[in-house]
Amino acid sequence: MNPTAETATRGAATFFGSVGIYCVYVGSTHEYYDLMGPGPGFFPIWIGALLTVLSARLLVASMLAARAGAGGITTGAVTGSGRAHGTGPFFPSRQAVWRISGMSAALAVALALLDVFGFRLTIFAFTFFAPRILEPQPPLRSVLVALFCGFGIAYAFEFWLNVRLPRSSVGVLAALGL
Amino acid sequence: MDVLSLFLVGLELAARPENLMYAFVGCVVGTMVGVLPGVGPVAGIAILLPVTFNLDPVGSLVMLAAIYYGTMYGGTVTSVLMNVPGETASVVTAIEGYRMARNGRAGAALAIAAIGSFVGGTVATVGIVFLSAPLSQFGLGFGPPEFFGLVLLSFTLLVGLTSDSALKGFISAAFGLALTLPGLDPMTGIARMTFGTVHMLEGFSFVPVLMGLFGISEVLINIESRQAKLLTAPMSSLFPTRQDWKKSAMPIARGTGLGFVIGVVPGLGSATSAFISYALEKKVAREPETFGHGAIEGVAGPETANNASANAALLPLLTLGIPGSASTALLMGAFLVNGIAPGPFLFQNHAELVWTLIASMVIGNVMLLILNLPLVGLWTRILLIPYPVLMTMILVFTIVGSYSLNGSLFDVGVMLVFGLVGYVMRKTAFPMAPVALTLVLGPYFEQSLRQSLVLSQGDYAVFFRSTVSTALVGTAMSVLGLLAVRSLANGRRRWSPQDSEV
Repeated sequence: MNPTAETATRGAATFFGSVGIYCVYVGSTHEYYDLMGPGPGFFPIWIGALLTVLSARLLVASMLAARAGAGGITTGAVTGSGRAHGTGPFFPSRQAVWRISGMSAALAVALALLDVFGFRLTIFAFTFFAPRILEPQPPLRSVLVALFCGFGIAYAFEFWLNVRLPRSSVGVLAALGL
Repeated sequence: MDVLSLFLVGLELAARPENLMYAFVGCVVGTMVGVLPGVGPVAGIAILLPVTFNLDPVGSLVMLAAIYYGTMYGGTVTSVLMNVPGETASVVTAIEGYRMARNGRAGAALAIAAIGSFVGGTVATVGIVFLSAPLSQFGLGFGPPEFFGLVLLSFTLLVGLTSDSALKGFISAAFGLALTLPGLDPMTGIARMTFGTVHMLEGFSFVPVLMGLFGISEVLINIESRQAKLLTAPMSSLFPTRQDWKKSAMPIARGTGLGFVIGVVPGLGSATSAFISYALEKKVAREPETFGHGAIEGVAGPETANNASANAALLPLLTLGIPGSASTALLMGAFLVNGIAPGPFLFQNHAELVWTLIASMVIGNVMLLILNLPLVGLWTRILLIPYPVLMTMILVFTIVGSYSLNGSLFDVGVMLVFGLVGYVMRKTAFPMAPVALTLVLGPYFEQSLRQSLVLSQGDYAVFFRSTVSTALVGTAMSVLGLLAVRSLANGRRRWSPQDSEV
């Protein structure tokens, strides 16, 4: 599925508007004003209201622009940062959908497994497979990069920078120091 | 102690071996990251921020400042050699510098860019030395109403100036403010929007959020399209000719002044100074027809202005606690992580630290100049690393970085979620800089607003009782009004804004 840029803009406006509505709701559950002055509900209500109103305006403007047959209100940028154009597709190609969703999924899986298998093994697996989502990799290069990222970076951060990285919760692996 | 004596004390501390090493590492690492196409200074700082966490405050800030201007120079290398600007401010460098490179004069372009950056950066640092004391003294007189006015003005300037789409800019700013709501209420300590989890008792940690919004989203944008092998223009002799020096001298001088003045104003940014400098040099050039075909003035002026502006932007940050751009907002985050609050009291409470930092900027600029000219060939070798591998390694680095903050996988999850949010925001042309600014300043904004109203017992006229707060709030209101009028006027026409990223 490849929505248009304008659809994505409306989606973003809806998301921001929802955040705004939620902020107003949360603000309403706290004291708006107390004896000392503005309470904990004061700021959320106003920020939420502002975000909701602005998002609604953007949503309406986008829908009106689409109805008028304009090119949309999302255009490309000077630096070519990959922004989608008006009624054009959000993703530049089908391969882009695969790359973005594949990499996002890989990151989510890695996050879920960090506590289970520990940093070294999880990142080894991540850096072995993730580049292949983007393009085919020679096996030897994949192994070397995975070893460097999974074990080399762990060593550098734990022994030079004193950063303790996640260890495995699996008994056998934990006993091996992984 | 007078300013020069304080600076000399700072210089002595900055010249200590460990601080020299931190500055050196920051310059090298910053330049390396800045060289990566598609990874601009903001993303570069966001990605490297966690590297500094385990250092002492002085070392951390010295390294981070070096990373800050190192990434700026790294972006210049890719602009000249590959016509791939690492950030908006390098676009004009890409126009002229790449043409020079194609004409076999890449070395001269890079050398003049490095020298101009050095001059601009050093002069701006000298400006910080002499202006910091009076400005921080001025800031000491600020109470909650004045601080509220200053923050409000910074928001409106940054939002209004970073994008033609003011509506999207304000939505980004409001979203950033909404992200500061979760956690403990700053005045009463009541838990607010914590979603029933202890992880949210302190709210969103802004480092993972910013790493996600800028770093992860940048990587996702870059992996969207299959990267063709990057072609680099051949390197020639590094030494500019006598003619090059003659043509570059005045652009460097003009760029320095222009960059410094623009850099001090929150919201204008390095990109603005680079573009204005380019326009100015084209206007005053003896041979304006050479512009667009490899005019060295088009490299000297904008690069100098860019670096002068980037260094000068530290002045409002250090003296008033106001970051004027996404990059300096990240730097402010680094200060806060180290338990130091930038602002008027910084020079009183942490004099040794701040003068060491300022002195290290002078040293860092020298290091950049010495390092980068001979090592240009080395930086471009980084680009031989296959792009999929490079991007994956950056992701690993960000995972480690966000985890190292609190030893919590929750922060990693926050970073990844906001990476996707940032990706969609970039694709739909929502400016990112306002989010960074409001995320960092949001708590102070709410606190100063509520404190002002507590002091005045609910009377909003408190914001107009002093000349300073009246001027600040009044100016902010005027800017908001102008933006609203422009937005409405745009809405009546067919609207196709071109956004520029800070």
